[in-house]
Amino acid sequence: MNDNDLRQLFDDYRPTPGGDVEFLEELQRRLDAVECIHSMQKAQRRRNMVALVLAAAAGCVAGSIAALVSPRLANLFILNASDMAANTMTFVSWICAGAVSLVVTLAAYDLCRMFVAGKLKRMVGGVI
Amino acid sequence: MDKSGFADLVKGCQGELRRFLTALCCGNRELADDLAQDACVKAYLACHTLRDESKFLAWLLRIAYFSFISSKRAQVAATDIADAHNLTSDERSDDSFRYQALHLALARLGAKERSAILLHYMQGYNVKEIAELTGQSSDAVKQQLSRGRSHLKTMLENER
Repeated sequence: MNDNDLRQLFDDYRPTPGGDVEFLEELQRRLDAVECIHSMQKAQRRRNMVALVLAAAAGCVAGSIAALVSPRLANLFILNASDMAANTMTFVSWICAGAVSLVVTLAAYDLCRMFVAGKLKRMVGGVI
Repeated sequence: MDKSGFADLVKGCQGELRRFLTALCCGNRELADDLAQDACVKAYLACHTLRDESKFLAWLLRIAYFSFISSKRAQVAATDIADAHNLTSDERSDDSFRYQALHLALARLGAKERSAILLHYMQGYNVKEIAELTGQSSDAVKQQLSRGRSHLKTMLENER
């Protein structure tokens, strides 16, 4: 058996494949599934971005309000206090302002994510 | 490339792809079709990296080859021989009987030798092209071809 015999052997190798139509239909189904997952991922990324932006905006607003309010609140407590106590109260009020804006930001992000999850569930329910 | 464009390209070369994979899987058509589907989905996910559509078949064969190699890692070597034997007694397909000797001989080759032999003798690629396609050096491909060829000849002559 020489090289040409081997080549001839493989030239003659024509296995009857399974149905072309079935193969292409199955492929089409898989490609549809891939497209569906892609569109879901894209929608989720977009909504996550919206949630992030909304949470940042909520955090900014809450932080600004807290920053405006906290010196006035601190003043209520430090009218007759010593300098050291006054400084401490100011410091604590700023910490509180920061904490409030952080909590508001995280809560806004979680709320937006919950909203997104609801939307996604409806979307998946609609597709499958 | 959109989904319908990709499906058209696959339609044009799915016969070649499945024939190659059927030989690679020693006549196991179910496994071959499964690998072909897997390769097509991987190709679709990566189709933005394909620059020259005229080389689509070579690109698809490369993906199919790597799918086959990674599927082989999970299998024991004896499976192919068992598959080839099982298929010969399977009455679903006349091919199993017709190509019994070839499938058994291929099953006794290593996965890489078998791939090199099929790419060279069945698909008509030269050593350099096979080296590019399989990500190996030309010397390694030459060695696989030479070893595979001599094993195949011995086994097929013994069958006669």
